[in-house]
Amino acid sequence: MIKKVFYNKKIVPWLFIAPFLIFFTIFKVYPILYSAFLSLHEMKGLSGKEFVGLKNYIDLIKDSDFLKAVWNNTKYMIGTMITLIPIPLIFAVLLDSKHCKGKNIYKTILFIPTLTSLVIAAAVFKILLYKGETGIVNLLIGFIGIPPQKWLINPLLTIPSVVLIATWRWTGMNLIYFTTGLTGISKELYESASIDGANMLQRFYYITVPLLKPIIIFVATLNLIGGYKLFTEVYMLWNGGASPGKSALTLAIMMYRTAFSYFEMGYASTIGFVMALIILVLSLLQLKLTGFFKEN
Amino acid sequence: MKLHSSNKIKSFGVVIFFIFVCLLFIIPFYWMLVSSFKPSGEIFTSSLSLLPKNPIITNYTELADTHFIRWYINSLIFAAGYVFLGLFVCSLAGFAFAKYKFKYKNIIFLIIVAAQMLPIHIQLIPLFIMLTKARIINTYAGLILPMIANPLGLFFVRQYMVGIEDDLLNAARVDGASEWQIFYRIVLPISKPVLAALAILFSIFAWNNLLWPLIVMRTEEMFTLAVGLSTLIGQYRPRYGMLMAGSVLAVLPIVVLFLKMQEHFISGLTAGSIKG
Repeated sequence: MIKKVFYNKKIVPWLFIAPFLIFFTIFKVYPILYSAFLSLHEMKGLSGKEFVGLKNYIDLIKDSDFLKAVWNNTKYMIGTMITLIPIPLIFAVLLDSKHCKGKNIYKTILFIPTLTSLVIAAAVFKILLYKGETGIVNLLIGFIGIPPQKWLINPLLTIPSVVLIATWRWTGMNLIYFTTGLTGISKELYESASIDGANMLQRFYYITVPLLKPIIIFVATLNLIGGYKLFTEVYMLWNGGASPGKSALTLAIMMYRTAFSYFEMGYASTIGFVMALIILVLSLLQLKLTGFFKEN
Repeated sequence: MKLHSSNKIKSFGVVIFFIFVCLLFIIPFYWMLVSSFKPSGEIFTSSLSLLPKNPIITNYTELADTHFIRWYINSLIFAAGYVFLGLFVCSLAGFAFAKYKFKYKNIIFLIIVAAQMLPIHIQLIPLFIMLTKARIINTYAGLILPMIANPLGLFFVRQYMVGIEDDLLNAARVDGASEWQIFYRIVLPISKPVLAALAILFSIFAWNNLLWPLIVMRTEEMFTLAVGLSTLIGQYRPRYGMLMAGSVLAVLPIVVLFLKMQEHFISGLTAGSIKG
């Protein structure tokens, strides 16, 4: 009897999806609903829920930390847009040119930071960004005449420091996206443009950029969404996220501290819920921009 | 092949440029390695030393006094459990969504894909409370089970399996194979590339992620590498030398594996780029 059910062609697909669906329901669907529920409650620690309606949401909008966090996340996101699109794009174009030898070695080396844990990346950069003249970053900017900076102490430089880590860690990944895109552009297009007298910049602007547009948008949306998830770098660089003047306070840090330093689980859920909504809206925007809704 | 002389200059310029860029990108690794042989005091000194003045290995030996080895093992268990169970549920379900017709199939799939757009942050507090109440907080089960039904993994596997020829499956059916046999004798072996890529994606998450294990693992001997290493930077007694030594040991296996199987790594880590 059991065997019959097990092998019944109508039932088999349900058996195939059952394990996934069970775990998905328990650990994804239910927590999402539970999060919405908790966000309407005041909760100290794990017990004593009290229904407070939309109070947490109203408090959140008035909370200057929340606004600060959203703004910091936005600054970080803009920073990664400035570095993580042009730099890998230019690298990809240079790698694609016939003048370039040893492409794979460069690609491999630039990709390795992607594999590094953010914990480790942030730890190393904490040393590299050391405030004195012997911090490597200060040493390097010294070569181009910039005086040493207090990277992790000056509130104006905290987000740029985090952007620097992101740039180191993610350039290789975006390089892969862009080089993959470039292989799809026919070389003849460039050749005929050269014959018509287009110089390198013109070819880049009129051929490469328009044809890579879908990938540029894709990478941009990765930055957009990633920007609002920032946690680990800030947690590491400032011992649990206590950045100078809250200049690098992010939504995720705020949620973590609200839950695990102040044990306000209801309020923390509200932050998590709002954070997810922000990211959801941005993801939908991504789908719209990439033409997902049109195609279907 | 003869090169035009101006081309030669260009190609020389490009090569010099990339060598420079690569050197810049290697600095953090070099510095990690060098610092791991320096006493903590020497890491932030007034004079820059490209090599440790008096190389020491105590940073490495003292790691043994922490729970470092345990953290390493915990990370391995997390990675192995996540890969094994995650691939199991994702590939079974992926197969069903790719090759069967059943009621509500499209709506279920849509819900799963839509859920992927909500970041894990929305679940963290509820999961913490749920795991605590279920008494599996601070256990491997609590760490692994909530992660395994990964919508991205399901999506990735399904996309791959859609490409498998129906004729192949039907021929096996004619030969009397059951649907289960078809799954593990035919579909799984064909899907090796996508499973390998996913395995890498999952293991890198387990090895590197901080936030999730930070919330689930509450006692020092249960920490993963990422959580454990993050404690070495603590406010009161930062131990940078040890942290760098631990970092070297944590990064090494991943880099070695990457150099051995680059293709799988890259397709695994760019998995998000598959368009739907």
